[in-house]
Order: sequence, then C-alpha cells, then structure tokens
Amino acid sequence: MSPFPLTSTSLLDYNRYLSLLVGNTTYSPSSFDLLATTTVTGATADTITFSNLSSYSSTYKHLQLRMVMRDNRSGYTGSYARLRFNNDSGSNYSVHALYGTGSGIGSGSEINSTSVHAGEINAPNAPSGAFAPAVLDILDAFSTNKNKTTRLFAGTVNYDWLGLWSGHWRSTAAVDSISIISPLGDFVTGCRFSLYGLKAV
Amino acid sequence: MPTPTYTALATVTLGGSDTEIIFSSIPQSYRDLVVVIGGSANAGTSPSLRFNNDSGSNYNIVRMYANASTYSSQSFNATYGSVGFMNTEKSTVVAHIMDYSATDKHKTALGRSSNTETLRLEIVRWANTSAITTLEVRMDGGSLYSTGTVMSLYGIAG
Repeated sequence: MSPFPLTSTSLLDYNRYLSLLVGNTTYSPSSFDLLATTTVTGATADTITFSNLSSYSSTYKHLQLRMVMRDNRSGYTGSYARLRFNNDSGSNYSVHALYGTGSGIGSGSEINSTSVHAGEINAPNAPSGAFAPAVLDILDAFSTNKNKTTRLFAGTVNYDWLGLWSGHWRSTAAVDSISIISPLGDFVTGCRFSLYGLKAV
Repeated sequence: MPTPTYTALATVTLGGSDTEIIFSSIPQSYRDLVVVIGGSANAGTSPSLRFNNDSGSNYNIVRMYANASTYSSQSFNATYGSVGFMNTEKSTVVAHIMDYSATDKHKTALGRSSNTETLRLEIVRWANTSAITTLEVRMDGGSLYSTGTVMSLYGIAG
C-alpha cells in the first residue's frame, strides 16, 4: 500500500500531541461530541429529524439535544414541541412533568401518548427575537435491552413556564432516528437543534 | 464528522472575598456556554448572570424551588438573571446560556441548583440580541463566595 498523502485540508479539527511519553501533555479524547446541528433558515419546518444514528452506537452511550425554538402559531405567545424515536407514532410513550408557572407549582403525566414532551416554543405574540431554550438527554440511546428514557429541562419566560419532564418510550430498539415536532405551528428561521453524543467507559 | 466539544474556557478558585466574577473577551466560536459553580456562600443568596455589563432591568426570570417545608414559583424582572441558590451549605449550580454568540436572538439561560436544603430551577431571558462578550456571575445582595468555591466556564460548539 502506498502512503496516503496528507494535505492541509485533511486536518481540519485536531489536537496535536508531541508525544505520549510520561511527562508530556496527557492525551485526552473528548467525551462530549457535537454530532449534528440543524438551523432553520428561510422556509419553515414542522419537523426536524436526525437519522442514521445507529452508526454512532459503538462510540456513544447517551445523546443530548440542545435547542432554541420559536414557531409561527398565529395569535399565540407559545406552544410546545414533541419528540418521537424511529418514526414510531404509536401510543408507546409516557411523560411525567414537574413545572412552575410563575405563581405556582404543578405536576402531571401522560400515559400511552404518541410522543414525549420536548420543550416549550415561543410564538409570534412573544417579543421578536425571543426563542425558548431546551436541553434534553436521551439515556442509553443505543441499548437493545432497555426501554428508552428522556430527561428534559426547558421553559420560557414569555408565558411563565419552567420545568423538568421525564419521557419513556416503550421499546428496546436502538435509537436510529429522532424527530422533533412542532404540532401547533412550524419552526421558524433561527430555530436551532444540536445533537451531541456522550461516551462512557 | 463528530466534533469534540464541551471545552473548558476558564476555571477560578475563589478566596472568600469575591462577590462577583467577570469573564471577559469570551470567544465567539461556540454556540452555548455552561457555567458550573461548586461551593458555598456566606449567606443565602442567588448567583446571578449579568451580560455585557447591562445593569438595566432587562432580565426576565421564572423561578421554581422546593425545600423540606415549602415549594413555590415566581416570575419577575431584575437587573440580573438569577440562576440558582447558594448558602453556607455546599451547593452546586449549573447554568446553560444558549446561543450566546447569536445576534438575532434574545439570550436565554437555564439554571438549576441544589444543596442539602433547597432545589431551585430558573429560566432567564435577556431582552437583547447582542452577542455576549462579557459575563458577570455575581452574588445577589453583596454576599460573598466562600473560600474554595470553584467556578468554571465551558464552551459548547453547535
């Protein structure tokens, strides 16, 4: 086999280690990697999908979504996002919630839902430029002997809503695709959805 | 191609006389910032964020908390964005600052804290589309971070 010629464009993202000998800088591979980002630009979108995720199954244990969301639900200050795995739209999901409304604390649950909660969404009656943030963890995403669980931290100040949500997908299938859905409107320009992989040893 | 991230940008260990820490000249090459505080304060107080030295009443906050005897939620405006609770007990605070380098969005932060007494969650919106270049993490009411409290700032690509 002839040597593969490296060019400068072959090395776009790297850390340079002079040596792995004792006394030199420790080689420290990342445990938290950005896998993909989708930003809505131009046309609106009612669903954002990350697919072919099983290709990451040998490298990562957990997944994390970091999102900021706004939609075009006319006449409203906000709405909400939902999430499905592997295009499963059956009644195979459950949700539990603990939330604050700015004046009180509440809790709730959904049994046999067709998706899990994925965060709040700001809508046109919220101030221009206001997007609702969400951080959602998917635990043991690629396990084939566990049902999948999610943990969401999200909220918005535009209609005083903040909380923690757990989600449960009654399937032992490895996660291959994730769809984030805006059921009451379309995601608008500026929405951002970033997917990360977390390693484990 | 996966991109390694969650990069440590700065860490400070405090000496007991600080009521605020300022991270300046924040690189604009990440999508989100994460502030992690581990330690305590000399009194019950709220570690809070102030962006780009903006001391106007431009921070909207929703808070929820619970302790052994009560729970509550409030919403209010302030001249800084509270992201947790600390007191003389050992506390952990984590604040996610989303899309901090964007110039088309108000900035938001999700904060949570816990110690042996109180669990608190908060969301902050800073009504400003400027990219965040300076981040002040201050104690409400002039309280002090206790000696040995560690504060770290991370950048997350996205």
